[in-house]
Order: sequence, then C-alpha cells, then structure tokens
Amino acid sequence: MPEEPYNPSPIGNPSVLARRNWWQTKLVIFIGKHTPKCREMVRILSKSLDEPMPLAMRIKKRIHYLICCWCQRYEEQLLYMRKTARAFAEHADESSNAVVPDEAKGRWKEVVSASARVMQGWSEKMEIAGRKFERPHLMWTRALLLTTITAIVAVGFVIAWTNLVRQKASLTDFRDEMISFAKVDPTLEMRSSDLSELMTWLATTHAMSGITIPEKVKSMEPVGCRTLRFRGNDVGLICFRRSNGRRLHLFVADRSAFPRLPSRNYAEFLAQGEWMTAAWADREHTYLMAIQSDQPVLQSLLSL
Amino acid sequence: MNKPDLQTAAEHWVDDHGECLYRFALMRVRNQDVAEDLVQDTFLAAVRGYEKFGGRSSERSWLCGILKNKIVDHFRKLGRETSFTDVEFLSDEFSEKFVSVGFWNHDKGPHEWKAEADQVMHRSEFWQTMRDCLAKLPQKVRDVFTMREMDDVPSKEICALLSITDSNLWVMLHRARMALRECLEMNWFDQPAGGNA
Repeated sequence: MPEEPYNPSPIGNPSVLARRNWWQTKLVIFIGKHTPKCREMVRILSKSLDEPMPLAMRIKKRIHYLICCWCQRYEEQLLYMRKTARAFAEHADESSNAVVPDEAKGRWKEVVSASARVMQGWSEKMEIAGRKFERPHLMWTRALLLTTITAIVAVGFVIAWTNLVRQKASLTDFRDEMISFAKVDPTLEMRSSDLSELMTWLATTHAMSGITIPEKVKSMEPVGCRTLRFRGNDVGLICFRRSNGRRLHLFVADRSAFPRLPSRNYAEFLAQGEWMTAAWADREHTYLMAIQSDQPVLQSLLSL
Repeated sequence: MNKPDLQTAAEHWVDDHGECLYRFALMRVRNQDVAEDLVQDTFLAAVRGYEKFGGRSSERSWLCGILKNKIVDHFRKLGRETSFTDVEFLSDEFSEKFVSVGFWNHDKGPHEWKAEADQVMHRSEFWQTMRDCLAKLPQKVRDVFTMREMDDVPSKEICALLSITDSNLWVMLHRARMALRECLEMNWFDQPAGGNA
C-alpha cells in the first residue's frame, strides 16, 4: 500500500484535471474522495442504461469525469455497444456463415405465398364489400332517403293543405262561427255612423277595399266595424242598426276563402235558430250577412 | 411509391432477407428447427401486417423488428429460470481492471475507440467479431443481454419473463456489458485491422 494516496488522474492522462500542480492535485484528491470510485461508477453507468440516473448522481458523474477519462470512455463505449447491438439483427447475415436449408427456404416461400394469396383474396372481398358502402353509393342512398322523406312531407303537407282548404271552403263552419260571434254582441273597434269612415278604416288598417254593400243596407245607420280572424283569413265586420233597433252584421272576407259562392242574386240562405244568413260573393270578396229575422226580410235587403 | 403486389413482395422477402433473419434467429435460440419456425412466423406476421407497413423504415428493419418480437415470445413461452452460476462465473473476472481503492488501473482502463461508428457498421468483420464476443458470454447472461440491448425489451419485462429480480438483472447486464466491451476492444478496436486501423 503506497503512502501516497492512489492517484486517480496521473499527469499525461487526457482528463481535464491531472496533478499538474498543487492546486490541481488537491482538487483531484478532493473529487476522487467525494465522487463514486471507478469500480462503483461503471456499475452506475451500466444501470443508467436501464433506468434514469438521479440528478445528484448525474452531477457527481460529471464532476468525476473531470478527473477520470476512463469512466467517460466507458460510458461512451456502452452507448456505442447499445447502438451496434440494436443494429445487429439487420447485419446478422454478415455475422455468420450459417446457411438456410433449401427445404426451409422452399417451405417459407410456399407458406408465405399461400398466406399472401389468402390475404389478397380477403382484401379483394373487403374492397368489394367496401365499395358497396363507399361514398358515391352512400350519397345516392342518402339522396334517395332524402327524396323519400321530402315526398312524405310534401304529401303530408298537401293533405294538410287540402284539409285546410276544405275547412276554409266550409261555409257552414264560417256561418256557425260568425253567428256565434254575432250573438255575443261583439265589441267594435271603430265606431262611427259614417259608412265611408268605416270603409276607410277597414281599407287602411286591414287592406280591405272594394267592399260592395247592398243599397238597402247602405241606407241603414252604421254603428261601427272591426276585424276578426277565421282559419287564417281576415274577416271584416260592419254593423248596422236596423229599424227595430237590432243589429245587422255584415261579415266580409277575401274571395279566396269561399271561391264557390254564388253572386248576390243567387245568395245562399240558411236559417240557424232565430238567425237568418245570406252568403254570396263578388269578384273580390265573400259576404255573409246575418240578422235576427226570416228569409224574406233578408232577401228584401239584398234586392236591388 | 406504390407497394408491390403482396405475393410478389412476400416471395422477395424470403430471397432478400431470409438468410439474415435465419442467422439472427439461430444466434439467439441456438436451435435450427426453432429458428426456422421463428422466421416462418415472422414472414406470416409480415404478410398479415403488410398493410400497416408504411415504408418509414427499410423492409429489413421492419422484418427484424417482427422477428425480435417473435424471439421474445419464444423466450416467454419457455419461461426459463435463470440460475446464477454464470454470474458467479463472471463475478471476479475484471477485478484486475481496478486497483484496490476502486479506481481504474491506469494501464488496464478502457482504451480510446477511434472507430467511426457508422463506418464500422458497414464492415462484416465487425459483426463477426461481435457475434463471437456474444458467443463467449454464458448462455443465460447472453439471453438477458440480447433481450435488453438487441430487442429493446424493458428491464421490468425481462425480470418478469425470466423470474429474476431487478438487482440480479442489473448485475447480469453489467457483467455482460463489461465482458463484451473488453472482448470488442481486444479483438477489434485494438487490432490493426479493427477500428484503430
């Protein structure tokens, strides 16, 4: 055992620190004492290839390398061996002279070709199956589906519309509803004894113009007017006071609501309880007149 | 670039890479029949997975990757237990490399390897030297080393596969690395025809 401590970094070695002077000697001895010895360091370096090295140990390793080029080389060589070992398989044919038996080679080709044929057949089937669901076809299916849905919706709409038209065309409903309305003595939105004023109000507020009122009705005293809605149609109501003090109700709607009604000369009369109604139409409007009286009275009011 | 027809490609694999795969498999399992079966399984797996081969690596790297997995599976099936006779055999082999206080013996420390790594890899003699050096390792130690360093199997998995502890694995790997390094240095890098040439 030499008296002098073992020199981990003799002069002439390529480590960063060698015992070139007093200061370096002290430093080399200090580092040698406070970092793992090389025997331990090579174990640590080997372990570091399999699990991460703690930070403190990484620092010690770096400090140790200052005095020990051999450990540094050792680590570089471990990494180099790993790199070459990973590449070994791809160069295995250069590493030995072992010959593949012809029988084995023939068998591999046979098995691999058969497997490849099966795989190709399979992928062709998949391709054919896939084609059935590929985009253009899918788009065509979607288009068909959309068309069907649209057709169903359109048919439904037409049916609903037809029902609506039928409802609109039902004069009975209109008559019943208007009489019910008249019975409650409805509130009038515009009160005036001036017929032209009422007509102007209807024309300006609800675009109801061109209303033709029978002459005999015109001669009565107007009370007022208002509008109401019946199955989506605007209906104007003009009230007149009869000589007996009771009201005459004249309901006016657009012609399209009841397109099949006859002209005034052939008005349809219908009694409902004590109420008598007459319905007719001109080019623009449909009219329904209701009074609490009988048909002759109503007929006389409509006569020219 | 379009992929060639699968059947044609598969037949080319056998011609172009069969030898390489077989030699690697034989080196690993040391049994001709098993090596042949592993290579065949590799080709079959490659046929099945050809669609997924994106051409990012070379065809040979891809096939070698599959073969490595097959080899690990083979060892897994064997479920072998490792005795430590071999480790004990290696235990003191490199004690002369260090002086008693634990530092490198200056005359016997690692020499500088001047070889340019990429150049070495293109020399078939290097791979022969490496195979010979690996062959000198005791079988079980070599199995552990090749699994870790060639197949890149994680340490934990090797421990589970071979029923050994972490510390045993590290000891075996350390001894194997040290032995292989020493062997490569003596037989390749220190030789005139080797890396130092």
